[in-house]
Parts: sequence; C-alpha cells; structure tokens
Amino acid sequence: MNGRLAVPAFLLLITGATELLVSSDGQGPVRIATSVGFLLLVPGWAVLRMVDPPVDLVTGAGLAIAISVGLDMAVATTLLYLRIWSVGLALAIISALVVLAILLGLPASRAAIGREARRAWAALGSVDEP
Amino acid sequence: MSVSTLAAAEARARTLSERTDATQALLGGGALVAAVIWALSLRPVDVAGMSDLGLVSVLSPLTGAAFLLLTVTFVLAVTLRPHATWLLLLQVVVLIVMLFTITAIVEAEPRFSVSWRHAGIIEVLTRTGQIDPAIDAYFSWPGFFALGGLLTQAAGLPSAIDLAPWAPLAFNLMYLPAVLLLFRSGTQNPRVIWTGAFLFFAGNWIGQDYFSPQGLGYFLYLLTIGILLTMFRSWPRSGWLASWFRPTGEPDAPVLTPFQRAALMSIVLFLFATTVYSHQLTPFSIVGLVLVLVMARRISAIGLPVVMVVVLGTWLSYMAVSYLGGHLNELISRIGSVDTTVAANLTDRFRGSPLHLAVLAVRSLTTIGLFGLAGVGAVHRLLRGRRDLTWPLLALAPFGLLLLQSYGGEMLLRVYLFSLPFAAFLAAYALVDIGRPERLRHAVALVVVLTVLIGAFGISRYGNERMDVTTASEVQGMEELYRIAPRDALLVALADNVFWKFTAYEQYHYAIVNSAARTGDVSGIIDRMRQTPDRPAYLVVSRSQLAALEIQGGLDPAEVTDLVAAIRGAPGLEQVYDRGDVQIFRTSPQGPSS
Repeated sequence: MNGRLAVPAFLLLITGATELLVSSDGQGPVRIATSVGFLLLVPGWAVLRMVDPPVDLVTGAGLAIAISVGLDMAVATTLLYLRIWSVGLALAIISALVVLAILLGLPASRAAIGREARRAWAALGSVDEP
Repeated sequence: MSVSTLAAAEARARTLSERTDATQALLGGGALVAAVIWALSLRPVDVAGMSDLGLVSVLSPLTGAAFLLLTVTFVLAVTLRPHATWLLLLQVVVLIVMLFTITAIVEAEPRFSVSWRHAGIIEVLTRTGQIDPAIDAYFSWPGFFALGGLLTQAAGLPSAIDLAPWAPLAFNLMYLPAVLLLFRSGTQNPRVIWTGAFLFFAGNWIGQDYFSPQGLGYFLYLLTIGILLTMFRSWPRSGWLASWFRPTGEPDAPVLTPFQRAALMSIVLFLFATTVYSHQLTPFSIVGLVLVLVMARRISAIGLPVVMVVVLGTWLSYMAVSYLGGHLNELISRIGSVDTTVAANLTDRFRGSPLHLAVLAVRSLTTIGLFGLAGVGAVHRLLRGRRDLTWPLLALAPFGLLLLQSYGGEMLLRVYLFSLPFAAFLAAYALVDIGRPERLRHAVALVVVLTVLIGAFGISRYGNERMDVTTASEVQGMEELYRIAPRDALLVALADNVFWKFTAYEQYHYAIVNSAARTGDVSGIIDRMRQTPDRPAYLVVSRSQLAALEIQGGLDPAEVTDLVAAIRGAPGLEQVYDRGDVQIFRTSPQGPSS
C-alpha cells in the first residue's frame, strides 16, 4: 500500500474496530486497549495530518494526544449539556470527525486547502499570490 | 592522501562507530535491567507495615539500587558523545515508569481519596446523562469528568476508578513530549534538554498527576507554552527589552505556511479552551505566562492574551455563573491576602507526627534545592553572556498566583508545579553546563545529585501513603456504608482523606468533623450528626482516617485508640458495621449526645 495511504487506512481501521467493539458490547483488554487508544490518539492524529506541522515524531504524538483529548472532551461535554448523552452517539460523532479530517488530510485535499488559504490570504493583502 | 591512509581512517571511523553503538546498546540494556530489578523488588512489599515516612519505609533496598543503576546509565548517556536520542528517550521513559507506577503495582486498590470522588462525579454524569451545576463546583468545570465518562464507557469499565491507578503514568508520559518541545525551544544542547527532563520528572513530587482535571490541564499548559515558544517565537528588536531578551543559541524557528500558522494558533486556542471548562486554575496560569511572553515580546501572537481572557471570561460569566454567584464575594475578598495565603500554605501545613514533619522537611529542602540550582543556572547563563531572561521570568511568573487566593492551602504547591519545567531547565544548566561535564568527577557529582533528588522524590511524593493507601477491606466497608445508609442521609467522617462520594454522589449529605476528632470531642461529633434532626446520620471510621489523625493531626496511637473506644462507647451512637478496616455508627433514635 502507498505509504501516504497507510496511516489513513490504519486510523480508519482503529476507528472501525472501536465502533465494532463498543456497539457489540464486547468486554476485556482488547476493547480497553482499542477504545482508549482510539480516543487518546486517533482524532488528533487525523487532524495533525491535515495541518502537517513541522514537528518530530515525539512532539507530534504529544500534539495528537492533546487534540484528541480536546475533541473527545468537547463532544462528551456538549452531549451532556444537551442531555442527549450516550457513549454510542459520542463515538459516532468522533468517528465522523476522524473520517472528515482524514479526507481533508489526503494529499489532494491538502493541496486544495493550501491553494485556497493562499488565495484568501492574498485577498487580505497579507502575502503575494505565488 | 594515499589509498591506504584513507582506508585506515575509514576503518578507525567504523571501529569508533561500532564502539559507540555497542556503548549505547549497553547503556540501553542497563536501563532495561534497572527496570527489571525495580519490578522484582516490588513483589514482596508489605504496604500494611508502612510508617509515617510513607512508602519508602517498606520498599526494598533493591528498589533504590535499581534507581541508582538507571541514574548511572543516564548520566553516562548524557555525558558521552554523540548523544543518542533513542537512548535518552528510553531512559527517561523508564524513569517515568519507575517513579509513577509503584503504587499501582504494590497496592491492591486505587489510592487517594480524591480519585474516588472524581470517579463518583463521572458516575453521576453517565448515570443521569446531564450536568447539574447546582450539585457543586466540580459541575461548573465538567470537561475532565465528561472525558472520563466517555473513556470509561467506551472501554466497558464498570467504574472510572479503574482508570485511576494508571493516571500518573499516563499523564507523565503525556508531559514528556510537551517538556521536550518546551526545552528544545530554549536550547540545542542535548545535555541540558535531557538533564532538564530528568530533573522535571524527579522533581514532580507534588502528586497533582492523579486522576484529576489538573493532571490533564498541566499537560495542556506545558504543550501550549511549548507550541508558542517554538512556533510563534519572536525577539524584542529595540529598547531595553532587546538587551535582556536576546537569542542565545536556540534553534531557528520553523518556517510555517500561512495555513500552518493559522491552524497551529487555532490548536493553541482550542487547547486553552479545553482547560477553561475542565479546571479552575490552569487557564489563569496559561494566561499569566502568555501575558508575560507577550510583554517581553517573546512571542509574536500579541493579541492572544486578550482572546484568552475573553474565552475565560465568557465561561465564567455564563457557564460557571451558578457557582460564582454563591462564592464571588468570598473569592474576591481573598485577592491580595498574601499573609492568609502563606499561612494556609505553609504554617498551617507544618504539623503532625515527627516522621511526617521529616517528610515535610524533605519536601521543603527538595523545593529549595531545585530552585537554588535553577538560580545558579540562571546566573551562570547570564555570566556566560546568555542575556535571555525568558526562562527565569517564566519560573517566577507563577508566584503571582499567590496574590489570588490560598486555593485551599494548596496554592504554593501549584505554584511549584507551574514553575517546575522552567526551574528544571535552568537547574540543568547548573548541572551540565558549568565545568567540564565529560570528566569523571563531574559525572559522579551528577549521579549523586540526581540520586539524592530521586530519594527525596520517594519521600516527598509517597510520604503520606499510609493515609492515602486504600485497602480492600476499606473498599468493602465503604460500599457497605452506601448500602446501609438511606438516600438523603448525612455521612460523617473524622478526617478529610476519607474516600467516599464514589457512588450516588449527589444523593447524600457529607460532613467532616476533623477538629472534634483531633480534640477527642465525641459529643461534638454527635451534635454535628444531629444538626438536622430528621435526617439519619452515619459516622464512618476507617483505617485511613485514623492514620491521617496520627500523621497530620498529631495524635499519638494511644489517643487514636481512646477516640475510637469513646466513639464505640458513646450512648448516642449505635454500631452497625464492624469489619476489617471500617466501622460504621449511626445516631441512636433517642440517645443522649454524650
């Protein structure tokens, strides 16, 4: 598999596995490791792929965890305030965000986003259009 | 140069490289051996035999030997050149595992009463499916608990308390990339970076990395400042500031595209917003440091403090208003009361049994020692021509929090925590940038300092363990309390380290009768239980509470025995449970108070 697609495929695999394990109400260490790993790493990793910051692997891991935690917390807290809490719904929303971030983080999408960002920036008069 | 000379040079280089690889592999193996020795040394630990010195009183000397071996391998790895990042990373990760998982391994049940309380808040949220700010302050900053609920239910765990034993390990592993990012923004010297990281973790005895909002908030604090100093770094270009905030050999700031810059700033704001609704104090610390960095013109995002204050103010004004509405006057009246804060943080805390006073002395000396080294490092940097006051300023800035309030007598601890990364960075300069670190004498001195710091960590961090440990018998007894006591009952405890509220958090009333317990005033305890005559009241007496009365309350074992005997014999109380480490009493229907 193309190296650029290996990471998105891995992230989607973990996302799918978590959904499957939680919806089937499976118990045990596999569910614990998969779901905790998913919630603490995958959403942020997907977002970071989109941003592609110039950081090393260790810093990238820290950022991925922080963003994941922030997204999980935002989703869970919102559902609680709206009084529609359910773990299944929370995971579904987070999984949807992951899929969206993965799609936006694909090389073709990133190039398009970059072009749009430069155009918008240039329109504001901040930088010259390359 | 002849072909044979080139070949000989190549052979020498290859031999040197092979030797370096072999040395690094040996040092990596040494770190792993230290971890194995450490794990084996924990097998026979008898937690019940702890003295008031805490966990170190029952640890095997082999545990100390494991830490010494790890320290020696670390000092060799950080001294020898070239530095291998993988090796130093491995050693610091092993250090984190060894420092922060001891209790998870040797204790049968999750430790520390507040972790149980936090599990109880998560239980309320997931059971009711809503946030009721009227319950108490925790519910006005619910982010961490909502996250805990999500993690617990997604993992299929029966209670969030199952996550608690591993929280210190998880949090400290999360701190590592943030600390490295922070230190790398200040220097390219790997000795300073990795020694600073070692000092940071060995100096993190505060114990705020338990299953708590502040444990997570601290990670976001470190990462936010790290991102700003790395990605948004700038320097004052003119005026007196330019003389005191000069580049001193930091790596070049990375080149960012406009999109990356905007995205990273959005991430900074997002992480800050995450702290705003999950912990009361952390966002104030972040705003304070960001303000300092902006005033020193050390970051380019000059509008950031304003945006942060708006985000924070919005939360406080709308979402936390039910808590602040009832406590605003109290909070405002404490601002600037430094004498009260110092009393609550220092003088009021220096009491207890002789061994506990020794623990407190070790904590104080560790703190003074680390900050003393940081001071030496700061002066050394200046004398070496590094005129950059950013790090001393960041180390001192958190002390401004003392002006706000005492934070339940814990503000000084929090100030230490928020200063720690910057102090550790400066202290590392004192240890590896003065003199010639590659000399044996210097390496031995470094081993001694780091070993002493680890020893002090053991006493400081786990010095209260006799009252923080939870036994299986206590868990059974406390579960029985919630089975016996009807909803809406008043539950009373002798000391504030009681672990309760882990279930049906909002359905009971709670009271701590610490003062009456310390003075042996049983009638005072009963009077408190009868304050609301129609409400059934239950007094729970547990092993950990009695330990707290000895350790922090200064009662001797005989006085504690007398207190329990007086409670047992009190005419106004009826014993309803007595098994193992827990006794439960309820008020007799018409008995006298004494």
